[in-house]
Amino acid sequence: MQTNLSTKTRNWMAVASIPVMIWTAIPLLWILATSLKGTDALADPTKNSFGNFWPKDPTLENYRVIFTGGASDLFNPALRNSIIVCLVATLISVILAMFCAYAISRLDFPGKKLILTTALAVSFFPVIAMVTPLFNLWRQVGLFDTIPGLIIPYLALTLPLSIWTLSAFFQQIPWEMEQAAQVDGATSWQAFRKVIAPLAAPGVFTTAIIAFFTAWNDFVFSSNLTSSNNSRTVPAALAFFTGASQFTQPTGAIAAAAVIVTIPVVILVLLFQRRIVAGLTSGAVKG
Amino acid sequence: MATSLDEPAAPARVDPAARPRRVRRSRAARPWLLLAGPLLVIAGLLLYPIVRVTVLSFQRYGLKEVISGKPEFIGLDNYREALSGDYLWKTVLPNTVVFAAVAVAGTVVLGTLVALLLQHLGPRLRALVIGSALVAWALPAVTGTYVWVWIFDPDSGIVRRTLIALGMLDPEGFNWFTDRLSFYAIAVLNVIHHGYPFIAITIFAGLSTVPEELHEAAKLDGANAWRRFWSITVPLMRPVFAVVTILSTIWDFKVFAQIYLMPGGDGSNPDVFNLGVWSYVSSINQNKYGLGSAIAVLLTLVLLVITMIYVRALFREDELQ
Repeated sequence: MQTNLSTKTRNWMAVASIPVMIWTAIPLLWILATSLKGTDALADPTKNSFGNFWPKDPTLENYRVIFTGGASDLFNPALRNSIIVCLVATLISVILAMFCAYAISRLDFPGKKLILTTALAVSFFPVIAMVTPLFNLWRQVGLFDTIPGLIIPYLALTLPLSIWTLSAFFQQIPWEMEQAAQVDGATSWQAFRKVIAPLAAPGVFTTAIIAFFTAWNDFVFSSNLTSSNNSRTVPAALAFFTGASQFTQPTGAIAAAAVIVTIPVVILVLLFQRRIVAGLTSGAVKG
Repeated sequence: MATSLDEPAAPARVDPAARPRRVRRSRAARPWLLLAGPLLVIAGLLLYPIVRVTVLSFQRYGLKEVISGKPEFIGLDNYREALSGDYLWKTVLPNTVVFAAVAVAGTVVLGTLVALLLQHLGPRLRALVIGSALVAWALPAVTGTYVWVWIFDPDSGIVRRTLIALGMLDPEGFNWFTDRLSFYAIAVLNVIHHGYPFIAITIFAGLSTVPEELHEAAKLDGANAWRRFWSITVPLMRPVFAVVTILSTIWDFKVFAQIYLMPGGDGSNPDVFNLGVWSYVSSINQNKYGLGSAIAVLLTLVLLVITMIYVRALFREDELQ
């Protein structure tokens, strides 16, 4: 970015970025290493190298435990629930947020700022204050421990965030281009499809990723509004893992499950790094 | 974003005068038709819990009342119980406030340093640093917390082994999770690790808006990097710093899972509760829903005050532009 830096400064910068990356990466690597340790390696440090860090004899035992072994009746449904609940919550909140963001960026009406401020205030409302009321209500109306019973509160996490991010994106779209295309003879459908949709797509997409992460992250709703495999998601299910025997900790299985739930996130991040960065910053900087 | 709010909307596709009045009236209603869905969802999801939790906070609502379904109105007793005595003032509030202050300061300082670093890196290395930071940001808080607990495990954690190998710790080891200070030191590491990427990337994006000519001019006048940062970058970036500071403050005040999932945070060690955990444990573990709700209302009020400061900071930013 800056051309006026000497090679020496540049090298120092590269050196400085190493500890930052190590500190950032260690927890990620640690989960991976733990997930590859067998029961004996977890109990006996001499079976690992680099000070109990990496197993000398990596094994996929823990992955077998969660997919086909002892923890599979807990993990597989939880993974399915996580995927369904987070995808549906993301889809609904992005669609609703598109209406909202379109109105805010495209139409003229009073109270725009109030709506954005409300959306922001909602996202600051503490989740623990919502759990008890929802728990009571869900038991009364039969939504407790159901998939919709989790999707609805997840909207409280994802919708305000989606409105906020997507409005920021939509306000950067040059909507006049739609008219320009129509002046040039395009029908309004063509103008939307060929001009506006490609401009709006990255913002919609980024918003969806950020909303998905937020839902994927939830622990409080899932651990309190579910009681069985019907709807429990992975973060809440981890607490129910048990070791191979009564006396062993389920560390290896938890690590393997953590790796599995982190993989989609890592793939999304690596594929769409630029877009996520744009989405993260559009809300706050230009807020 | 805020600037374009004040711009007139894009011209209507067809001259409105050419259309019958009914259509024009439906145009005025159009924003509200679009907004109805999202606003109803937000209102329902927000208003119901707020009203309910406030009502609960004025009631005696324990196991007996759950079963009978007839809670008793007890006025401000729950608030009195929460606010009186040493527990709130000597344990919970310091845990919440000091933790948030340290975590916010750490997150913003580290985020700024990483942002400055990113600005000076080549494109490849920059992509690598941003990539690993984003993974840390997206790592679910639950799994992140498990890892930090393992790293500091009193028996087999890598920290204990390293410290013993270096001779800095006695071979019998030390349980960091029972001591309040070291418990929160680990929580701070976890929360900063999870929170700094967002801050770093936001500040990095903000830095690119600082005109480079200013730095060049200051350099010619003999200002060193330290001086240029405080005299040029900080004043120009003030709104961005305000936003990231307040966002972090709100996040760190309502930290829950990261504390609750650490050893002792689930209710067995009251020394380490913060406001959120205290509210949760009172309600869910001890079935004192009234008290738990009163604490939740107190936490919400604190967050509301911070949110108002945040909104005011945003509006001030508008005026500057």
